[in-house]
Amino acid sequence: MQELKIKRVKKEIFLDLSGFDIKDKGFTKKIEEELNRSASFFSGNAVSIILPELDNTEADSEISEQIKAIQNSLNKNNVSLKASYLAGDMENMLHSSSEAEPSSTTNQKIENTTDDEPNNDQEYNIPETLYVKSGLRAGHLIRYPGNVIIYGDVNPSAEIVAEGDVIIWGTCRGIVHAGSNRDKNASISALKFNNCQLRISESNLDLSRNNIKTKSYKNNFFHGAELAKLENDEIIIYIS
Amino acid sequence: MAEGRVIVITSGKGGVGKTTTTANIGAALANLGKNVCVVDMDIGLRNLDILMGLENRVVYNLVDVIEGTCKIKQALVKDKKLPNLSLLPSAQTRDKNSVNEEQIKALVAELKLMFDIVLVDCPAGIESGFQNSIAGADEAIVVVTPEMSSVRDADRIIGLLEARRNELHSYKLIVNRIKPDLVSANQMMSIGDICEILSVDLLGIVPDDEDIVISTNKGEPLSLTPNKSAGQAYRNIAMRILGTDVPFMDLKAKGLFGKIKAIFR
Repeated sequence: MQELKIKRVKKEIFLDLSGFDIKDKGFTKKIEEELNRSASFFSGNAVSIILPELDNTEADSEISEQIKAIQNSLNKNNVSLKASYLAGDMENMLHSSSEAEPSSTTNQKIENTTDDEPNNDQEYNIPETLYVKSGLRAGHLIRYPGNVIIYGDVNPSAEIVAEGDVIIWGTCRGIVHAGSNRDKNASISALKFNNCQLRISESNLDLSRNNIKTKSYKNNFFHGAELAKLENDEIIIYIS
Repeated sequence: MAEGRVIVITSGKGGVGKTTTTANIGAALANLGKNVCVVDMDIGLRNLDILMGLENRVVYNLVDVIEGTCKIKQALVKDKKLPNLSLLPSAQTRDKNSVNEEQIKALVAELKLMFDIVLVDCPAGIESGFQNSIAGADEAIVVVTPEMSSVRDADRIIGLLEARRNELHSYKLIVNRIKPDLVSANQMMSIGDICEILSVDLLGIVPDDEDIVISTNKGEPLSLTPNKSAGQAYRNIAMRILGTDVPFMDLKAKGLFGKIKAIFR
């Protein structure tokens, strides 16, 4: 399956289309789908596209037509096209400066946590924490190889699978899996757990049947909210 | 003439009262003097004509219009009592794949020029029938009953509507079939519980009413009958759609009244 990659170099966002066949008419649709899915991330930004390596048999007109189609679908989503590069050129450019890092694939939604990132020549890594500025509704799924912060409720049958911690600024009613990479130190915190299913590492807790073990939380820095952590492979809910 | 508003009535789950709501709000709006068209988008499972008592007057249907067999005006069925209320029936012998989004958009755009308000009755589910129905809609009304399954489906639908924020500029909630007695006995989800999960503006609350069944069978929308609580709820919703600020009905008082009524039955 072809994959649309999103790369970032300094402040510039690149859509890597080098895995695609440029002649395939269907791929602009795929770009549009991707843009729709992470609309809030792209909206208002300018992106550059990286085109696949071309052989000489392809007519120039055909390619420029495709670029125009891509530009149209970008504009529809309030994204402007900054520049287009050929894959080969791009690679040379990246190798010479060695500052690029593939940051995400299509399956992950990334959002910036800070606006003013360091403007030096260091590598840009995947943001460790995904910050989602809305609640999750039924049927929404987030998978992320790091921490996840949800600013809103997680509703019934919404699902979060994170390799790190999950923080919910709202009520948790859905399915949350923290430390999905067998990280037993991961935790889930929410303003309130309500009729939800929690998983940490390989342990599972069904909160709907009131079989919860709670402990009052002694840490002074944590008040008002609820926290789920592993203790001897059993999920314990801490309340303040 | 200014363009009309297109309001889609949807729910996700089946059997929560989309069609009943459409018929009643349509009749109430027409009674308030608006030029209203109700469109049955449930192609293959035609119902709206029965609720409005127009099943024997249907000649052409929505698919005929789209395929060019007839003109829109030929397919529209005028209500018996309200001359400014029209129905565009759906086809019973076809299925949802006989139309596509672009065709529905064009059809709705044409209806917009003819009517003040176009109410679209959406089929259950989130598949092509739903996608077609919300094409071209400006606003959405989500009908939900106080059950967990209905709330979850409505939540999913609202998520899908939110993804279309560019076209649909507002979506509101109607809580249907609430039983005030059960709510006060803590045996049914309350309006507060539902709104807390869905976090959408409330457009109206319709109490559970046996008269709805009777009016459905008679083919006369209840909102035209005075002194019925559900009918009053639909009339209030119609006024709110037109921008009047009507307070929500006091359901507790109704509950007590219902109890007294039950004693004398």
